[in-house]
Amino acid sequence: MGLNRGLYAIFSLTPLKVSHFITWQSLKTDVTMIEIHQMVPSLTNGDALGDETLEICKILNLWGYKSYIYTNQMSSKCKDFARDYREYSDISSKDNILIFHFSIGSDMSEFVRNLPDKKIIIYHNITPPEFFVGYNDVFVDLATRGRKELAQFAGIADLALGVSEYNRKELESLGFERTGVLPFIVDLDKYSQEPDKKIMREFTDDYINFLFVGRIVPNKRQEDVIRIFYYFNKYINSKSRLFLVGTYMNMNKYYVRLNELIERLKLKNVYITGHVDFKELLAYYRLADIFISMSEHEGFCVPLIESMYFNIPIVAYNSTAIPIILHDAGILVNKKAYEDIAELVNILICDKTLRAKIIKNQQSRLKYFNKSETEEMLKKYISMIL
Amino acid sequence: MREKSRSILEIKGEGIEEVEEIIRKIGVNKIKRKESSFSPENVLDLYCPSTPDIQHDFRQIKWTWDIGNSSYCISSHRPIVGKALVMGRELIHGEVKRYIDPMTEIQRDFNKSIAQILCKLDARIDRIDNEIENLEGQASKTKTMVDANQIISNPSLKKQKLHMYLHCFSGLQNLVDIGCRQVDLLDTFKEHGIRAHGVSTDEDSAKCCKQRGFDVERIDPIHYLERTDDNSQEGIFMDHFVEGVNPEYLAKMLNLCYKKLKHGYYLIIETANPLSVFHFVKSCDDGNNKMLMHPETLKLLLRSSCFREINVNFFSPISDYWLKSIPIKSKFANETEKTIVETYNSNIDLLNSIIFDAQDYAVIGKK
Repeated sequence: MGLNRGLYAIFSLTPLKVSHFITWQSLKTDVTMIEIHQMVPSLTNGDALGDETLEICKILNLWGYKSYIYTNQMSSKCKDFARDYREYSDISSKDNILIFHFSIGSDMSEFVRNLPDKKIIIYHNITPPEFFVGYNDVFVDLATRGRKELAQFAGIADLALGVSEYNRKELESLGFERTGVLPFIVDLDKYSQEPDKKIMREFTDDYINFLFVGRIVPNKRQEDVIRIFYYFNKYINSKSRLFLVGTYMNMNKYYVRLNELIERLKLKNVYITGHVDFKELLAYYRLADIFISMSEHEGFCVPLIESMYFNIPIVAYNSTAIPIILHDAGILVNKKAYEDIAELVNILICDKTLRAKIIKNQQSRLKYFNKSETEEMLKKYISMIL
Repeated sequence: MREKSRSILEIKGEGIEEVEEIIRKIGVNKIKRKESSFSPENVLDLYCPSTPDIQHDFRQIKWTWDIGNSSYCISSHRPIVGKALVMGRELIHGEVKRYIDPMTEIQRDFNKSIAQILCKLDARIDRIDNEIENLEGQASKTKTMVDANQIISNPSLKKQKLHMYLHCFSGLQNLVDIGCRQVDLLDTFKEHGIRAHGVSTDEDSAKCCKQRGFDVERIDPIHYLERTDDNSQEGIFMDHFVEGVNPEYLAKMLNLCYKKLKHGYYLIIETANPLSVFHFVKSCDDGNNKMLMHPETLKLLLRSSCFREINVNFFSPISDYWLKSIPIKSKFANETEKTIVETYNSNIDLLNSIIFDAQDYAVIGKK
């Protein structure tokens, strides 16, 4: 999403800080001798997984490790930072650490299993295949295959990390012995950039803006967000609009069905943006009055962190990793009662005191995802298997 | 401070203490919106995009079974080297075709067979659907004729309800009778100066009422109500109508009734009573009945559609079939005889109340 969060991460590489390096050197004197590489089935700038992979690469380089990203598919903007995964066999070694980002089934799994490297699995969770039935059969197969492949790493991985406690528990239930939690490493500084001026100009007015950010996929249940918005727009405040920001690539059927729903409800103010660049993403966050997630399956959900950063009150359906990520922040709804949720949004818009309290709690929660904190966690996990 | 309510929402964290208050506000605001004539359709029912459309997939198979590519043409725009290039490409193409074409052919034949089978099945399902529809129509026609005749021939049975209905409908000039199953009731309404407009989907009921000089329209009641203005109806009477519709339809219907009724006016729903075992068993034989509804369920549905002052009245007990009790003598031979008779009679009363309870009941709700 957006102007390539990943690219930004790379271009904004700051010079190696001596103090930082010395601290780490004091822990590991032969740090530069060890190579820590990453492997990811698909590297796309702008999506959460791609951005995190690029961020970790940047951090490892800062710490003095030789580190590259190996992948099967990459977006054109990532070509300078990634290599074909088959090339990894040339440098593979039992002394290396290989971080394997696991999110879907792929031929890469077997390749990684057979490598002699020390392996850290970072599990981003796999969407249950049933969500894709009827929409994309390839995804049904890949998700089914992914779950089988993940289980095969149980006796092989030296360390298995979930991006949330929800994911870690799943790893544990699959028989992984050494597990931990490493939240997404999000570089919050990049959100302070100027947003896209055109979008800001177009939508800056007295309308109430609903926002959901995430790929257009059935597990994210964008249709439920539309239904809530329908009630709000028709019965509470017609001066409102809904932004559904996210790509619908490979999910054309679902995208068409969402549009059919919008048409049937005769809704005028729903915008399904498709893929947006980073500055455009920032604009949508800056315009939003409320972030609504009705997703029924999330392994982490970076947009929650982003909403916390932009001080947007979050209303989210209580499912999978959502309550873990929110912890004491935002509002969790246990039941998809559309009318009730729309009324709740109205209360959040009108009651400034309540809104301020919710935002304050979100700000407190955001500290947990501070980059330096997550960097420290990564450092700790690496030292565990060195 | 932590507050928690599993029922609707959870707000945790420092300083948030008003969760119950928020839930209360949500409820109050919803009711206010409904009272001010906003009656949102059930958004859940509007469309469920997560259910894949089987017809869409079927069309996809019908349109794309032929995977052959006959439009492929090897050519070159280069005037000099073009011929050599074309020859080279044709050579490669010919070699590749030797391997690819047999596989494509097998896949094409397979796709074709599947598409043909599905088309035949589809046509067959259509035929079966039509047959079922015809048979259902015939069965319904027969049943309706029988019922209408019974209703007309038993006016005295229905008149006992009259005082109850007159209380709610007295003097109305704009009463809607949905179902029109009891022509004698329409007669009585007319006698008491109540002007009723009948709405029925059933051809025979409508015909029967028209023959008796009543103003009846043959139309789906939902369509009828939708075209009327909000807050325009003075009374709505559902005459043995709810047992013939499915729950989704009924829920939509009740919401519409609330929307269309004037404030302070009544909706009366008369229906068969499933609490009467005798009548319940008899009703099972009725092909028109999709569901018999428990009085408490119907009350709840009215309440959820925002009706108030909801009452249930039972009538027409099947007294002809009541099991007989033993007459109480002034003096019993001994205590044992007295206990036996009393126990027996109490059991008979209980059985009568269970088996031969009121045939019908009416739920009354006020907007």
